Amino acid sequence: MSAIRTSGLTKRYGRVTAVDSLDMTVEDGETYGFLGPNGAGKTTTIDVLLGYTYPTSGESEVLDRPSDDETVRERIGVMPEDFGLYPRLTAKEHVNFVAESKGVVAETDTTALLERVGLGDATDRRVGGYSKGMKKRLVLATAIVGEPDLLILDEPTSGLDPNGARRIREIVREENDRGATVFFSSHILGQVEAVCDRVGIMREGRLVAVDSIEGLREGVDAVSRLTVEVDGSPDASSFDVEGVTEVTTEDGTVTFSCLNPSAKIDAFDAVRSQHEVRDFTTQESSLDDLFAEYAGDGEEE
Amino acid sequence: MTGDWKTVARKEFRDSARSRSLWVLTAVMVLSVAAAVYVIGFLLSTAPENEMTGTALVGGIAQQGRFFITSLVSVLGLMVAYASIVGERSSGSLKILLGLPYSRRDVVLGKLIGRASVFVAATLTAFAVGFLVLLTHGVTAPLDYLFLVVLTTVLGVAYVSVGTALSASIRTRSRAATAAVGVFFFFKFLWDTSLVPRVVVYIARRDMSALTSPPGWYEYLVALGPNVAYSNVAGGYVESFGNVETFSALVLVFWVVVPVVFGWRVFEKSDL
Repeated sequence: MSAIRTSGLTKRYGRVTAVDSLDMTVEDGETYGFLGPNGAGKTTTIDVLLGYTYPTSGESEVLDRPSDDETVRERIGVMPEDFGLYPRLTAKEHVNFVAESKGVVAETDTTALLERVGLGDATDRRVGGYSKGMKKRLVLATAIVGEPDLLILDEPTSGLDPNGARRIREIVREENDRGATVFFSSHILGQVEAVCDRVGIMREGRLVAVDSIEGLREGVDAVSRLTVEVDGSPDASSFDVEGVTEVTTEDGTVTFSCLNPSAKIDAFDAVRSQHEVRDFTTQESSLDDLFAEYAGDGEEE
Repeated sequence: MTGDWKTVARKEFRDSARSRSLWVLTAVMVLSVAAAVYVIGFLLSTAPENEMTGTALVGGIAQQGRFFITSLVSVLGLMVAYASIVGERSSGSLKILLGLPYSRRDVVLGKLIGRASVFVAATLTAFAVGFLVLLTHGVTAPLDYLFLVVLTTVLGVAYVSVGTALSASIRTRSRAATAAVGVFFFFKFLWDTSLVPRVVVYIARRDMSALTSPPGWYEYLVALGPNVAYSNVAGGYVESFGNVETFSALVLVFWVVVPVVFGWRVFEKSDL
């Protein structure tokens, strides 16, 4: 059984293809990070998964039921990206309404839920006066009403202060430990890195990479940078080292892009044989660099 | 048990009941109905040849006050409903609502019933106050008055249905508001004044004389407008219920049912 499955899913708006024959599977019980720059098609994908919009072609299933079957949403908790609330209702009334809607009034402890997301002191206030962060917390509380089998969270941490974002990641982890599958979308790798078993990276409507965080990291470890500061002005063409992909020089420094640790050492030796070394630094490229590479130029719309 | 349209309707009612504009609306309605009942009750009680019967009362209010009542009811019915769905679409709360186990039909039906209940509550309050005013004229015809209340409520619910349909099928709040104003003006000033029905007759007959001696179906044509249907039924109650009156009653039912079903069908197929 898979929690989410799409095959050949395509959504076009006029001449714009937001999602382009997407094949994606999220396994039962995993925490899946759905990454990509803004405008990559993440929200459109989620809109189709939840039946908010209809696909142009292809299929979309959630918990083994078609997305447009509303009864499946009894077992799903949702945190949409651009959501609104009912400004005249209180936080408690929101949670109660969701519990009523899902048929889980008896087993829902509204106060405890609101405390869990950090809204314990604002439960009886109308949400019209809530800050963005408080609204996000409230929607998270409504999403976990009734212990859903699947949580679909679209940019749950965006617009939150670090504490709020951490609280959300903690709840994601707790919910996953309880057995829920979590589908967590973000345009910032750092937000999903700590909680996700696997990530899928979306770009221009397609999944361009799917891997575990470890798998991605292994790919990243291969590339690192060595910068050596020397006396005199080094000549880039005078260094020919195996495993080095690029050499650049500038103002008495020379920088090597190395594919492995031994290339780094060989490059260092090569510099020492020609120049007096003053200092050196090495820099491992981060997962963020890799993500930026996959995701393209970042903020494309 | 999971939620259904009734859960949506209850939430809708609770939410609307806290809306300040709703209370303003109710106050306007109470004052208007009380004033109308006062004036008409006064006219009836001073007209010497007129027996103060219940039917005279209904006839007086529904026919002399026709322009006033249908204007008030259509404006309020449309106002209560036009933003019900499109408002949630633009605020984004529709994504919360449809993230729950509700079908689009549950949402439309729940909105209709919830907002119609709001309208009915305001109407009943207004007519209850109107009844007290009536008592000061010494007129007591509770059953006839009740008939008038029910009839007026049905007309209002018809406009709530139209408003809900606009709200379900139009994508932005401002366009839905424009459409609601358009509906009001169309019926009030283009249909009730016989302007459009006469154009229809002329087009059908291509003959100016058809305007002075209209064909037999003309009465039915005019009765297709909810306001006309309303006063036809009220008139039928006072005089006698003929074919046109029966037809008019069906027209009112049509305006309650058909718009919202149309709105649901459009909403069902649309992307949020």
